[in-house]
Amino acid sequence: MKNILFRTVAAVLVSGQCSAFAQDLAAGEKLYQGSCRACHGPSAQGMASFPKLSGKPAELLVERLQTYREGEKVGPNSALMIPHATKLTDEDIENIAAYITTSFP
Amino acid sequence: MLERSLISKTLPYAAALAGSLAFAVPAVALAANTTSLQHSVVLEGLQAPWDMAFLPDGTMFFTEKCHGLSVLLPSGEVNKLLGMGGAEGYATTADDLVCEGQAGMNGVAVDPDFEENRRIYVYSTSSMSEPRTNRVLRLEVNEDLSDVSNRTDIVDDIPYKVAESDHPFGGPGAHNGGRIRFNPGDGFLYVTTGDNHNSEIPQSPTIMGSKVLRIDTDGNAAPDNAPPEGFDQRTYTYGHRNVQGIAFHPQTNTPIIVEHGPWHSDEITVLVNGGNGGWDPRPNMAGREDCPDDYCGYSPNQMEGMNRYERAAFMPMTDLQTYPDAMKPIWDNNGWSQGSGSAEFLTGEQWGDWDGAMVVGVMGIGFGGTPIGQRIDVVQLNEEGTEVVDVTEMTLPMEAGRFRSVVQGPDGSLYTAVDEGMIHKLTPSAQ
Repeated sequence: MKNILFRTVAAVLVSGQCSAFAQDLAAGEKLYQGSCRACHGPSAQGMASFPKLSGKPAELLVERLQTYREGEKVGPNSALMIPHATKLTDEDIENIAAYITTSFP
Repeated sequence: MLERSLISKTLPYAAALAGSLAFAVPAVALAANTTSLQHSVVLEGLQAPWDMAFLPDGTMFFTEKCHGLSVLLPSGEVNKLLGMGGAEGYATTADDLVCEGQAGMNGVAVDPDFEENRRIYVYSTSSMSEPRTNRVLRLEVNEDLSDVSNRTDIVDDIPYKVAESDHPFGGPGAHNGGRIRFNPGDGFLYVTTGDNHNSEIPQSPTIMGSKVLRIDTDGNAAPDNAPPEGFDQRTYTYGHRNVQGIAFHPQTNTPIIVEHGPWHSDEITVLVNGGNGGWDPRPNMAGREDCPDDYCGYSPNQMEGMNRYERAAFMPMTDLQTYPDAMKPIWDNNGWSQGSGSAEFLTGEQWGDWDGAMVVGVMGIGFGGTPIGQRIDVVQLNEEGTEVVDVTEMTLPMEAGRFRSVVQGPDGSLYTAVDEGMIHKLTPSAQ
């Protein structure tokens, strides 16, 4: 419990913003491992034609996922991203962004 | 070095196979295998390692897609030989060599007469022509393996996808092919190319995409190439989608390719001189109407997943109705498309039951209901190398990845490059 609390607080601090959700890094990690890792890599370093996510600000990651969720195209891999993003809630998006920015700054 | 061993196991593919192959592929029998593997990381922290080629003493040339060509010496030292535009620390830099999307510096091969001529070959995208093309560069390596010189572009007209299009993976550089291998049987260099999301290319007699070229070390067509009349004589086979894997059967030296499928049906195909791969994604033919940006390769319903057999019926990977004489694949990955992109034959008694089997690197990301497929398949063929008799997923003694390249080294081990930035070594060991 202590660890979870620490990680959540850390995520909020790293993301540098006060959002409607207290980010859950464990939930973000689960989503990342299940939906993002196969293309973006185990360290979010990017692979092949799939872009690097490490080092990207949380705001950009959230904004981009929200855009894909709306079905809007951003770049040539939109067809891959839109179906993934469509399934995500606002909380999911915050959690994924928090996990990436915390684990792969 | 990370080392551990694990017993590999055979997975029950036979049942899935029986009801799933689109072509008349014989039923598969399970084969027992108890090969164990030791693992070590040869190199890590690489930028998209794409291919490797060895000298007999274990010296390993390797490419990184956006950086260039390097060599790992038996001492463990790495020399950076030929850098692409913007790359740093290389003995020689060629500013015309560029990367974008799937394109960049791809395949590498060592000349069969390397000991005499010091020649190696790389496949790379270049901005020397307008529009950009893919080229096969012949280079000479100096005695201490610290630099290259005498660049000669023996092929300069393999097409490159310049602009984004309305397709999945539709960015520039898509479907770029890129594997180059010498056939030990005939001594010629085989070059695999892709369709660039351009529907006119696969069946084109003159555009060198969607082909397997067979050439000599000056880039001339092999004299025995037998493409249809009117074709560029460098063509060994045509009508492919995006070939990134090629290997030669250890007994017959017959070229066998591995090809990415279009949301369905990765294929392994035994090549026939002059043969047609049967890929033709043009709109307004074979029952299709208009398609996005004149390319039906992902149709119908190209932005979402759908039943792979319905998709295959609409846009076959090998269209035997339109091209009855096309080369039939001997394996279709159970109808899935998971990025099968490299091939090698395992040889030597150290591989036990796998001696003579083909290995295929798979890079599947999982999309639209397709299972993630990041693995190495061991594909056992019949004695003639004309049919698949067993497919085993190699149980990996390390974390799975996007297996971009599989190459057997002179030590008999299997080396594999993963997009995650590593080159692994897998060595069979006695139990």
